Amino acid sequence: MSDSVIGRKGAVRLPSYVFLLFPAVAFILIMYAYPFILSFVKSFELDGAFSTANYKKAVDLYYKDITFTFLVTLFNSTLATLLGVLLSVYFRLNDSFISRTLIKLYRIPIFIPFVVVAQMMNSFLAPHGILNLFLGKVGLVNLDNPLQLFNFAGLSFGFAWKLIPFTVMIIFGGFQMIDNSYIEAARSAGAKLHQIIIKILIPMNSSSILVALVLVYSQIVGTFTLPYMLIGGKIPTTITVDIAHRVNYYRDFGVANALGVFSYIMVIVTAVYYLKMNMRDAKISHPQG
Amino acid sequence: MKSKKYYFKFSMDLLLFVLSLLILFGPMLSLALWSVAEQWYWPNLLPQKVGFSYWAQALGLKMSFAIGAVSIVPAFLRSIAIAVVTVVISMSIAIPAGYALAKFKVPFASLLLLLFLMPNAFPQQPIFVNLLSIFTKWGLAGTVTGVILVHVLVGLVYGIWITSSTFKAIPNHLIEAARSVGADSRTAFLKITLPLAAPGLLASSVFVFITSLDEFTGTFFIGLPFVNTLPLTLYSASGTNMQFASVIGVLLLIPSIIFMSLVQKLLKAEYVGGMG
Amino acid sequence: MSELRLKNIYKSYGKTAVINGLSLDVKDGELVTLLGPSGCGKTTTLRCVTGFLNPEKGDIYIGEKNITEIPPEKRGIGLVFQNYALWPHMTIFENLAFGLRLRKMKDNVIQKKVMEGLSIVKLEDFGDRYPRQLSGGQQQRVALARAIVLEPDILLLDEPLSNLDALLREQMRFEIGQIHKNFKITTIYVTHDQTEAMVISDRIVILNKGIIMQQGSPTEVYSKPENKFVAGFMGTTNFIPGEISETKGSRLLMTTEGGRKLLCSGPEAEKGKKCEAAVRPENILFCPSGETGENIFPALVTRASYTGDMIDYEIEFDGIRLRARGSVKERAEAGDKINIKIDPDHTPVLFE
Repeated sequence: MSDSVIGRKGAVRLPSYVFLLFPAVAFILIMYAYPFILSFVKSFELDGAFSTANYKKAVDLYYKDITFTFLVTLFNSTLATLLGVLLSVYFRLNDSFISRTLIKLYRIPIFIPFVVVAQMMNSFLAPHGILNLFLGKVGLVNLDNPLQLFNFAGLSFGFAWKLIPFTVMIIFGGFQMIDNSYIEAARSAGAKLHQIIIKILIPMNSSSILVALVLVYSQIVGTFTLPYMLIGGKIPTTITVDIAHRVNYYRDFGVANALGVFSYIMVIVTAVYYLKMNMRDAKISHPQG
Repeated sequence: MKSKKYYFKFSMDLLLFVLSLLILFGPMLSLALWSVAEQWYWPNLLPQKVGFSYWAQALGLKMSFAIGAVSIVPAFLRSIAIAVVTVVISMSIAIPAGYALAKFKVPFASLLLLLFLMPNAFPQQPIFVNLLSIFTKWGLAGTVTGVILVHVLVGLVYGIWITSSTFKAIPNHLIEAARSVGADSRTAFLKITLPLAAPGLLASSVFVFITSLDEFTGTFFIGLPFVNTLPLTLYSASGTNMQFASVIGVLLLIPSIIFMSLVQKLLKAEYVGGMG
Repeated sequence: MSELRLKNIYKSYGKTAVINGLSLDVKDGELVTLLGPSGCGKTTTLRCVTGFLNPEKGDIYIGEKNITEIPPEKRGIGLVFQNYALWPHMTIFENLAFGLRLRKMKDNVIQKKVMEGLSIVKLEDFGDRYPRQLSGGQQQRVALARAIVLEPDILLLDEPLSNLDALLREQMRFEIGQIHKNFKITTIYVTHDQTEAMVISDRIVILNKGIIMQQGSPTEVYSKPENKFVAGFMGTTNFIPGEISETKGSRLLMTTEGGRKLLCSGPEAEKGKKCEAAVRPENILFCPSGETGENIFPALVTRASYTGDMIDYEIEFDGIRLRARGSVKERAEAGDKINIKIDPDHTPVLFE
C-alpha cells in the first residue's frame, strides 16, 4: 500500500504515515525518552556538577534494600514460574471437575489492580488479620504470637497471589497449543507421566515459560504499590519504596535516580530479551507491500 | 474396585482444590468482609455486626466523623473524568500510530518499535520521578492535566500495540477490494477498515480506561497532594480506616474484573498482565 | 475500446527486478493468462495494472488512456482475489451493492443490478447471508459477481481458484469460461496451474523472472515451446542433449550424445550446434519388436507404474532416463527390452 501513496512523477511530499505517527512519537519522546535519559543524567549530578556521590550515597544507605529487592525479585519470579508450570501441567493433563473449576477461576487476580491487591493483603496478612485468625482456629498458629507477615514472606505471598495466575495464563496457553497427538505418541512409545512432562510438554513449551519468567521478573522489580503498602519504610524494603522516600521527604532526585538506574540494571537482561522478542515478532507479522 | 492409588490421587486433587480456593478467595473475602464490618472484635473469625454504613459514608449518603472517612464521590468522579479524557487522548494518538505501524512500510521501523516498547521493558517509576521535576518546572505538577498526561503515557503504549495488532489482523486485500470497486482510500478506511477494527479499538479503549482508573504510581508522584484519585484515596485510608479502604478496594475491583474479563479474549496475555 | 496495453513495465524490490521491461497487449474481449511459477512476476504485474503498485518505468493504457498515474479506484478495473476478499461485516447483497452505492445509483437500480449479478453466479437466494456462511466455492462466485456488477472495462483474476479443492476448481474453471464467453470482458487471469491456463485462455503468457518467455494460444505454447523453460513448465518433457548434424527442410537431424541420429522439427541451424530435443512422454510410442525405420530405437523399461488410466514408464534410452506413457492394454514390465519410436513432428529442437 505504501507505494501507492507517493506518485512517481508527483512532487515530493511527506508520506501520510509521518502525520499518523508524529503525535505518538512526539509524546513518547517528551514524556518517556526525555525523562528516561534524564534519570541517568541526574543520577550523575550533584549541585549542577558531575559527581558519583549519588551512587555512593545510594549504596551506603540502601545496599540492604538493593539486595532485598534483588532477592524478592529472584525468589518470586522463580516461584511464580515454577508454580505456573506445575499448575499448567496439571490443567493440561487433567480434565476433571476440579481442573475445570480452577481453570475458570484462576484468572481473577490478573484483573485486580496492584493497589487493591495491596489493600487485600494489608487486611488479610495483618497480625490480627483473617489469615492468622483462620490458622489460629485450626490450631496451626498461637494467636498470642501471630505470624508477622509484613516482610519478605507477606510480600512474596502478595506477588505470588497476583503473578502466579499470570504465569499460568501464559504457560497454560502454550500447553494448549500442543496437540494431544504428541502426548499420545509419547505414551504409545512407552513414556511414563513424568517423562511426558519433562521430555515432551516442557521442552515444547519452553518459549512461553521463558516469556512468563521475563515478564514477571521485570514486573516485580518495578512494582511500587505492594511493597509500599505492605512494608513501607521498614528495613529492609524495596528500592521502589526508597525512591519514593527520597523524592517525597528529601526532594533528593540525585539519589532517587541513582536507585532508579539500579532498577534499570536489575532488569537489563530481561529488558533486552523482551525488546528482541517483540521486535522479532513485529517484523515477522509485518504485512507485505 | 478402585485402587489405593486412585484414592490417593483423588485426595491430592481435593487438597489442591481446597487449598487453591482458600488462597484465591481468602484475600478477596478479607476485603469484602472489612467493607461491611461494622463491629469486628478480635479474635472472632467473622465480624459481629455487618452493615453498609461505611458504604453509605463513602458514597456520601451519610455524614461521618470517623477518622479517614470522607466522601469518595469527588475522587470517584475525578477518577472517571480523568479516565475518560485519558481514553480520548490516548486513542486519538494511538489509532493513527497503530494504523501506520500496521499498514505502512515505515523507514526506521525498528527504531520506532524500540521506542514504543521501551516503556514496557523497564521500570516506570524513575520516569515518574523525573516527570515530577520536569512538570514542576512547567507548572503541571499537582494538576489534573499533569495526572492525565501521565495516565496517557501509561495507556498509550498498550493502546498503540493493541490497535496496531487490530489493524494488522485486517487483511489488505479487503481494503484493496474496496478500492477496486471505486472507494478512495478515505472511504475504504471508513467503510471497511474501521468497522472491522471496531471490536479491537473498543477493547483497547476499555483497557486504557481501566489502566487509568487503577493507576497508582504515576499519580502518586505527579498528583499528590492536590489531585486525589480513587486509588490514592484508598492508599490514604488504608493506614487509618480499614473499612473505608476496603470499600474503595471493592469499588475499584468490580469494574476491573468485569471489563477485563469481557475484553481479555481480544488482547494478548502480556498486556492483560501488564496492568496495575 | 477496452484493450489493455502494458508498455515496457519495470518494477524492482531493492536491487532485484521483479518485472523487467514487460510489454503486453490484451485485445478487447480477450482472456489472457499470465502463467508462471511463484516469484515469476505475474502477481506484481497484476498489481501494477490494478494500481496498488506503481511501476518504476513504463506505462499502462486502457484504450488510448494512460492510467499509470490514476489511483486504483478510478481505473474501472474489476478484481477477483485468491482469498475472495469478501467483506465479513456485510451481507452478500451489501458486498455486491457497495461499489454501486459509491456510484450514487438509485436504490431500485442497485437492487436490480445486484440480483442480476447474483443470478449470473447462481446465488440468487444468498443475498441475506454473510460471507462466513458460504462455502469457498460460493464465496469465490460472490467475489466474481461483485466485480462483474460494476461492468468493469477490465477484469483481473488473481489465482482465483487456488484455494478450492480439485473438483470445485474444475467446475469453477468452466463457469468462469462461460461468464467470459457471455460478457466478453477483457480479462487477465493469473495462475501457476498450467492445466487451468490451457483450459480457460485465449492466449497464454508464460513468465519467468519478470520476462515473457513465450506467448501464444494454448496449443502453440504446449506443442511448440520456444525454449527449455516453457517446455519444462508446460507439462512433462524429456530433454535429449546432442548437436545438429543436418538440416532437412523443416526437419533437423541431430546426433545425441550416445551417437544416435534423431530426427526432430525446427528451423534451419548450423551444423555442430549444441541443442536439446524436447520429447513429451505421449510422443514416445512403443512399437512391435522387429520394426525398423526412422527414429526407432531400442530401449529398456526400468520402471512401470500403473496409475489407473495409463501406465507411467521410465525407460532407459541412449544412456539417459526418459518418461513415457503407455496404454493399459499393452503392458510392459520393468526389465523388458522394447523398441520406441519418437514422433519427429512433435519433437522440437531447442537451443540454449
